[in-house]
Amino acid sequence: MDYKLYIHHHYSYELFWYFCHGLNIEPKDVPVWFKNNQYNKNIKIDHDVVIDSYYKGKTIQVIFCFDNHWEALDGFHLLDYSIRLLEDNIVGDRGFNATDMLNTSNYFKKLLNKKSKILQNRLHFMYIDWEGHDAYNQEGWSSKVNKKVEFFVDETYTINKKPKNSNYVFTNLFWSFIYPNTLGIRDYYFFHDYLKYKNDYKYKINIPARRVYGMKKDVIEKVIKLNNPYINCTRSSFHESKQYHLAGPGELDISFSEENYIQKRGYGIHDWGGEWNDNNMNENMWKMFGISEVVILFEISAKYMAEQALSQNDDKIPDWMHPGDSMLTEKTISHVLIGKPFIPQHYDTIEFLDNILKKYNSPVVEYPIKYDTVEDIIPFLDDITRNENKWNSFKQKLQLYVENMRTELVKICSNNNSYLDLLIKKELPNKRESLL
Amino acid sequence: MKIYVHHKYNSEIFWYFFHGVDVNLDDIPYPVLDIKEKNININFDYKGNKFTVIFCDDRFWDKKDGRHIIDSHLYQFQKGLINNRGWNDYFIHNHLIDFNIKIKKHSKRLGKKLDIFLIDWEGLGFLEKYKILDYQINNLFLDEFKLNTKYTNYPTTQILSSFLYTNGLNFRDFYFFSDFLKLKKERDYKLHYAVRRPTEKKFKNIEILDKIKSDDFIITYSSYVNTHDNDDLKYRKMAKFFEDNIIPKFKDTAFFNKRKYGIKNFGEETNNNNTREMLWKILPFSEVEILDEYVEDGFITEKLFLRILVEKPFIPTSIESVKFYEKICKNYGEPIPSYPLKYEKLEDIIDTLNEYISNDEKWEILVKDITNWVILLKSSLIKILDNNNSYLNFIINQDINEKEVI
Repeated sequence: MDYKLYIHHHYSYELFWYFCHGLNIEPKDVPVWFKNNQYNKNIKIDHDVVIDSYYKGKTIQVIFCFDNHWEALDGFHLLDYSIRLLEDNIVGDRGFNATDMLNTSNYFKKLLNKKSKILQNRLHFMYIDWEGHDAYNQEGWSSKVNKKVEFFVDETYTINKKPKNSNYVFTNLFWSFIYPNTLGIRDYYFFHDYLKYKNDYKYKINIPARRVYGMKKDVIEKVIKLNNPYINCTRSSFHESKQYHLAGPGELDISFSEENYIQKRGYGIHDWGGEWNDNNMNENMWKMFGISEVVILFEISAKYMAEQALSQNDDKIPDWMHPGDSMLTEKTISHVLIGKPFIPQHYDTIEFLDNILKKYNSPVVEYPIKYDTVEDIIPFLDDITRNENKWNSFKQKLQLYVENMRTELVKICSNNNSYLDLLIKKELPNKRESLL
Repeated sequence: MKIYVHHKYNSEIFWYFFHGVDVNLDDIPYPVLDIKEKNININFDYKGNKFTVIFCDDRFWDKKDGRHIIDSHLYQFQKGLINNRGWNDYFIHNHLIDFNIKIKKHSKRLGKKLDIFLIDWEGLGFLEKYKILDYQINNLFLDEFKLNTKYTNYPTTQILSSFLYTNGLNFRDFYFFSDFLKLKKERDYKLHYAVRRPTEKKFKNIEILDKIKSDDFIITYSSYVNTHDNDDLKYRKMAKFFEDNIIPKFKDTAFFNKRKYGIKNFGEETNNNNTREMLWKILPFSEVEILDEYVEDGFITEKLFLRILVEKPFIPTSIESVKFYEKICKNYGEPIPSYPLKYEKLEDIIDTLNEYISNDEKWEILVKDITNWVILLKSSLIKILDNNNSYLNFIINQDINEKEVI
């Protein structure tokens, strides 16, 4: 066996795909149930689950072992921040919460320091938060955790210097949106087969905002002034929800028509519940994709955030935040999986996605427009939506782009594993060194 | 009127029990901190009566100023004994014993002020089978209408709402998916009969349906059959018979394989995974489905209700299922046209199906007629749920009856 990997989580087939996608394995050899959780999948598997497989010519033994085998020096050890929070019922789903992070970081710092005393650089910590903040620096992992612990993150570098023990793992980030499927994002992939037939959209472009603030507010204000019947803006009742800690209708200062106010609180079957990530993603899937042909997507740009942070623009980026780079949230991924044409707020989202395809030698379809931020192309969008021929051609190019991205990303992430790519380059330290 | 609900609060449970009421939506809380400690009070009106419901978990059992509700499934769910609203025979016995111990502490004292819900979608008749509940003492709300009707109540709207709330199986998605399923016109087959778990009843149906001689008709089976994740020896024997004698006669495209690589892997045979597989893979497979339902045995399952929500045309193996839903509409004054096919048993319509399936024009009309029927039925059932509540009707009527006696 070339590599042994101890994964310190309760086994589930969903975690298998999250951590071990890309392995050369027959699906039937991936266990999906055991005697004790045969009829209740919430019963956690406490015993070891061992799976032998191949990855890029190397033999790998994966051992899902939860809290056991921390003393084993014959392999690497992997712990995932978000999955552990989920297992401990600290979070209700795979989404991230900054408040939880503040409360839980200390626990993980202590745990990592304790375990790394023996394991040294055998200890790997996966921290994928979909938030675009460089937690490694912001949360003090860099200064308070043994530097031998390797981090696997969803931000490549920051305005700070890239640390040596922090590694970017794209395919794991991609799979983190799909498994465990606590937010139903995997369903977006299948929804694609139906949404593509829809052709009776009321608008050509929609600009949906859940929380209307900062640059989103600027864009919406400019678009509303266009008085263009083909471009629409929607907002959510989220802003008035008591569940949102900054709730309050007063700040918006923009008037939305009744139909553009996406009301979560309907009667009975039309009640979308609380502002939890899973409810929001479910509402998003069924209510938001039927509004327009193309969506302006307020995806975060690390480059923009870094600029704001460096210029100390606290209105856009809080001064305590350390923006990361190359991050991606569920916003883009859900649109890619569902094959919905989108125009991101910042062009660097497109650059980032294209670079992933290039890295894996996958075909790239040219995105039909270049810009810096979406504000720059508001006049262009105003013109093109008023010209049917030009619009259809533009929309078709956007569609081709997203379809190609969907196909290629699923292929890349089924045949590769960023974490395992890094793992198979590593060598175990000799035991004496560790014990000393 | 006060109702103490002995479960931890969430808004879905409110809709499960108290759909159909006149309530201010702002009065239905969503995030609630410290649910363990906090009682949630919600006021609403229903048919001229004022109600206050108190979600109080395991507290306030001693209160005499109102009624008390407990639901066996929510009890198991909130204790972590089951992971979704679906039902499973393998542990129901032990769970009901546990539930009964819980109830016994209060049942005699509360008498007819204790309302127990046992909605299992299965119809095994466990009252007879296990004899563990003193159901004569309290009010038992059961989803079996042929069993012990003297002592039990059939809460129609709660049974329908149990498919929607709590939404652990995502059945609610079927309602919204209807807008998109109809957009995809191409189907692999015109008519489809799917077998997940082989049973004797399905073997008989397969034998009857084998007389439909058309390339546009298919009987499929699931990878479930060869996962052998069933401890029941009788089932295993049946599955082996199915594999050895029936499957070989099926078409090459008859296999639904759950175990695929990565994103296409639909996981294990738990109810929620099966429902997802049904949503994305089974529904678009054919134009019309032939479905088993269990009305003739005295209960309904999710099978028909999900197709109604998603507006998928279906032909039940027995006309009793159609009559059942039409009767609900009639009882609540919602109009529903006649179902387009006239028959009693499956064998009655084989000739008709053979005729229609081979004639595109006739087939198209049939599909259109059944689809319209399903759409109207969906609309009527949702209206019924939005305006009526079987449980509250029972309470109001019981109060009136008690007053009349006095």
